[in-house]
Amino acid sequence: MKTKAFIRRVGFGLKPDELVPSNPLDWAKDQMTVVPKLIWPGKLYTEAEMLDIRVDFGLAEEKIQKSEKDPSKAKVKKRKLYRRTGRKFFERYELAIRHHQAVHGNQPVFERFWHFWGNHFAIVDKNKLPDFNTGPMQREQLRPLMTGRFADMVYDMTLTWPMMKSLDNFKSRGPNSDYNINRRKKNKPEKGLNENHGRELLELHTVSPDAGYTQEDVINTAYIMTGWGMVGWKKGQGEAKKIGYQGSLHEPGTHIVLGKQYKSSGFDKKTKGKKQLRKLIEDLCDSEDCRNFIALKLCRHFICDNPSKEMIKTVTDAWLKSKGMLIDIHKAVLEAAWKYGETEEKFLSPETWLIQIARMTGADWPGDPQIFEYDFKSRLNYKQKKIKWILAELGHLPYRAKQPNGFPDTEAEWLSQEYLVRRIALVNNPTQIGLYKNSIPEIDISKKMVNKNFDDPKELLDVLEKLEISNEVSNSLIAVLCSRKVLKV
Amino acid sequence: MNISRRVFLTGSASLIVTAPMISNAFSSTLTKKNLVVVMLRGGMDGLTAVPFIGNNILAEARPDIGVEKPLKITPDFALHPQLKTFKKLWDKDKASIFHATSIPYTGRSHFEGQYLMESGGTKPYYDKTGWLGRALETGNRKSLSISLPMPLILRGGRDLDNFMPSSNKLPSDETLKILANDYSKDKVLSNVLNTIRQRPIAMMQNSKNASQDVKKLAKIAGEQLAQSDGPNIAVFDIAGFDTHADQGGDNGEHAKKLRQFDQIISTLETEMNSAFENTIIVSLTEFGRTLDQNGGSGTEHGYGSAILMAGGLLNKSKIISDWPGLEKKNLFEGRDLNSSVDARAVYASILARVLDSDHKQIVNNAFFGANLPDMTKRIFG
Repeated sequence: MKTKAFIRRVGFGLKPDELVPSNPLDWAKDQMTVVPKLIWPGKLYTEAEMLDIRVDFGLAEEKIQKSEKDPSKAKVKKRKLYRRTGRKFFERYELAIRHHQAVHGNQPVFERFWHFWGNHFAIVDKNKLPDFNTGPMQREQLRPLMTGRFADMVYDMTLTWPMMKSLDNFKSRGPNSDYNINRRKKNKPEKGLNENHGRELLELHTVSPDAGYTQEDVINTAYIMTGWGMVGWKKGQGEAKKIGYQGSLHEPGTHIVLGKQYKSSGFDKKTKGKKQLRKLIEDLCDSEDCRNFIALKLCRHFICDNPSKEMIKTVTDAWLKSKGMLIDIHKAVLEAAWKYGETEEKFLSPETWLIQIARMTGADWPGDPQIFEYDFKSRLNYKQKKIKWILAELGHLPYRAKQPNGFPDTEAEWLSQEYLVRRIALVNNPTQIGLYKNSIPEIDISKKMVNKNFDDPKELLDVLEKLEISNEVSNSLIAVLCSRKVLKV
Repeated sequence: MNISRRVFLTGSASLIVTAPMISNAFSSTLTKKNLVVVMLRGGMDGLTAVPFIGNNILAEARPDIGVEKPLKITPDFALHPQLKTFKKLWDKDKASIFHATSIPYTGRSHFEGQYLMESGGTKPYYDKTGWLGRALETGNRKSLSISLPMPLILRGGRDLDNFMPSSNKLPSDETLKILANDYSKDKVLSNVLNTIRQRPIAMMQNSKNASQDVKKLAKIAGEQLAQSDGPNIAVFDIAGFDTHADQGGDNGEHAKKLRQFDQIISTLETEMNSAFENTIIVSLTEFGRTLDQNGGSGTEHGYGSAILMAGGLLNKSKIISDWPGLEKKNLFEGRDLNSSVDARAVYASILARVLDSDHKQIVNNAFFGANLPDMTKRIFG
């Protein structure tokens, strides 16, 4: 591929003052070896802190609901609680951290991969997960996993708090577990299996339906997962915060998934069967179906909607050779993009496009981190609120996937009249994205952006020149930022 | 004389309008009929929406999530208490249920199933167009829609446009012309922008109330459908029926979603007034759910479900079903309500009625000529 097109294809384009790398492929590959530190200067709330806040919120909200019968008083109390716990603040804060990193950071290609994996392991928009937990989990747990093995990433992501919560595994119990045997003895109704997470582990996170698994395989995967969930629940203390394994809930015995047996090893009742999940995930991740599925998704994201066999093979070869090391897999994706990307086009998702135009124009986006300092008392102001509003307007709030398959990744899904209208309307008011009318003239920003980011800038520069001649320079940002060549790389 | 019709879709976040222009002397003599398809994503539980009360099997299979105050409609079947408007229409011979039916898909994956319920085919991720889109391709139709994405179900219809209220403002057409020049080398982008530029002024303006509430979108849909030269097809899109945990009974998650479905019907009935007489609203889902409740007081992915139909185009309220029964031996793979009729046969027959088309032609255009029996008499007879 040509240098600058490649940088836009796999990254977010070049900042106005950024040097053009002399070897773009190496430039991109080098970014994959070390997890970049978050450059956000403000406080980074840990996942544990956010769980504390979440549970505090839940308990306090319940208390208001129970004790305050007057609806208007309850409303006032709730508003206070919302502010005190940052119920409406934290998602915006996380989005700001994410965008600040992508727009101003120095490893944009790594950030693109982070966004990709976040969507691969999408946490659905339910149970207040986007409000408190999804962003912090992706920062703290997902990022460090990106330089390790894919199988480790799957295992650890499976056992995150938001994933357990959103896919219900914490409610799943083996029909013949000690727990249910006891209930039967006491004549209490049994609490059985929940297949939700097991199915998605197979379908979305690892092998895909191409593996040809059956309903029996889904059930056995769910058996293997029984026992995993939140532990340490105590009455009156709200949701349990720790993820762990309870042998008493596990379905005993040997389980068979895709023809392989998983024996229930161990003698201690508390941990018996615990290792089955690790073994299962290792096998799933070591399968050809998994390699092909993940390679296809990566190539689709970074190269084109319908990747060729050669592209996919570049990635699966690296996978086999490295035994599933993500650094090598990521580098192979970049190599495939470099080698085969020239003749392809990729329509960018709304969020990637937004970050890209902000980075390439040097926009003040998502805004000075200081504006996101919050006193947990006041109403959120416009500058704090707008990032979420703008992403919602574009149809792409990354922490609010409607279903566990995340956001789509093809032109057919992302290009509609209304989606396009929203992009044009956003740039029509560039102040919203931090391009202020009183700073640098729009025409200068546009020219600089085009010169910096296009291997052959002539076509867009001609457009800008025409606008200058006809005295229409106020249209220059729309003309370039919504141009075919910026929407599609 | 030309009749202009429109088709449109709404969802919890979307509303699509397509405006087919029909230039056909025959069609001008016909009343404008409307079809509203409500997509219920996640697997709508037909046994919660329309529980079988003819014996105790269902109640025993679901001790914690049974429907406790069902609205009895026949000796064997009842309605979920949240389907209040639906019940009201049932009493007026304007609501029916096609029970124990599914699209021909038994894989229990949401995403494969949702793809197929929209594409109308049998191979997931294969067909790039939707059954409704293909049905509307015939005739000289021009389309307009209100929504964020263009859903697969409508793809394949020509010149589709879509719309959603937004608080941001588009630039002048002079500015859009600059982009039109730029897009001229790209057919898809070019088509998309051209449709935007041809929008009526009302759609070019920003809206202060860009709400995505189902009732508000249904109101917009109802207003449009009610116009004689307005759209004639609407599609809603509600997600959240995948209740693996805490499904609830009379109240709770599944009930909440059924209530949204009912709200769409009630809003449309109110807004459309007499035009509701020439309308049919129909539900669509990827699969039903297991008979038994699971470990989290929810249900798992199943097979057969129910299609709920309402509107003045129906002549008699009835349960239409080759009911397979809930005894273990009659369940699909020993766990799910079975499907005795390909759901596509129901949609094909409804389409033929609404579009005044030949059943066979609809089956050929929309459903690849699949072997689908004509259900017209069973539904409308």
